[in-house]
Amino acid sequence: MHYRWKTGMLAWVLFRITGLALVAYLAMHIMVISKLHDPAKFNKTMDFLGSWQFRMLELGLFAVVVYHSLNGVRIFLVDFFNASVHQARIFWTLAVVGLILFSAGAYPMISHAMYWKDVQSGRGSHAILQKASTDNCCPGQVEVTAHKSCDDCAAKEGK
Amino acid sequence: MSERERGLGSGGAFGWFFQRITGAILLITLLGHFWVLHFFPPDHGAITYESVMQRLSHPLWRTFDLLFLVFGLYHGMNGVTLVIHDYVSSKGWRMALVGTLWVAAVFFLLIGSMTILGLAGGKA
Repeated sequence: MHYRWKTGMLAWVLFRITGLALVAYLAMHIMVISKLHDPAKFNKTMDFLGSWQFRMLELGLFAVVVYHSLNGVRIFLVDFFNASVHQARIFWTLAVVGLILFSAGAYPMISHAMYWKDVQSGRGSHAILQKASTDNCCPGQVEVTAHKSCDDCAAKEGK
Repeated sequence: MSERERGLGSGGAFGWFFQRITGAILLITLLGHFWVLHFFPPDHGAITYESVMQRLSHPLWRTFDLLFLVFGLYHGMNGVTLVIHDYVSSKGWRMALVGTLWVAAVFFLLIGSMTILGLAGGKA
């Protein structure tokens, strides 16, 4: 007797791995956010986590979420709607659905990432940057400094 | 394996059923969470203290986030319990691991809800 690498087996292994990854992420997520009661600290951390590099990493998280969700839907259908005979076909149908959903969600996420990539590299004259400049009395700043306070800028300019 | 042994620490039918129910709920809450924080937050996806506070000042969003936390933690911990049951055959170890897991779940639930409610009622 030997194992055959079939759809259900592949789906199960990936489901287990993505599930454990999401639990680890959830624990980390709760701990990180819980330490951000102070507004300045919150915004400083979010400047870092909102960088385009982190935003691209979040696509990986999104992919894991989409896979785990849709395979969950498949299990739901198999268990509650007696669809076990069709489980392989359901898997590949949902794979197509997943690809569409991932693309639809990834598009705005990548757009945001590319916007912040420009901001981080100092290119372009972005509305938010100008808004941040006036809000925080730091005219013409080009880094991701949307949340820098006046004090930060004053200190930087030696005022 | 006796019925009694098999039932130890595994949610049994309750766990099986609610794993599917919470999963279905998470489908909605997770989509909402990604919607407001990843897909369509204003200002090109910039998440600031002010924007989060503004959202959490609405009781419905606080409820939404709390439900997401409760169901997410339950679903995740119940999932890990299933994994433990698959790989740990010793009854003692299994009980110890599952016990530790639920203590951790309660800890994360406390920290998480304090964050949601604390942030909402905080200084700003």
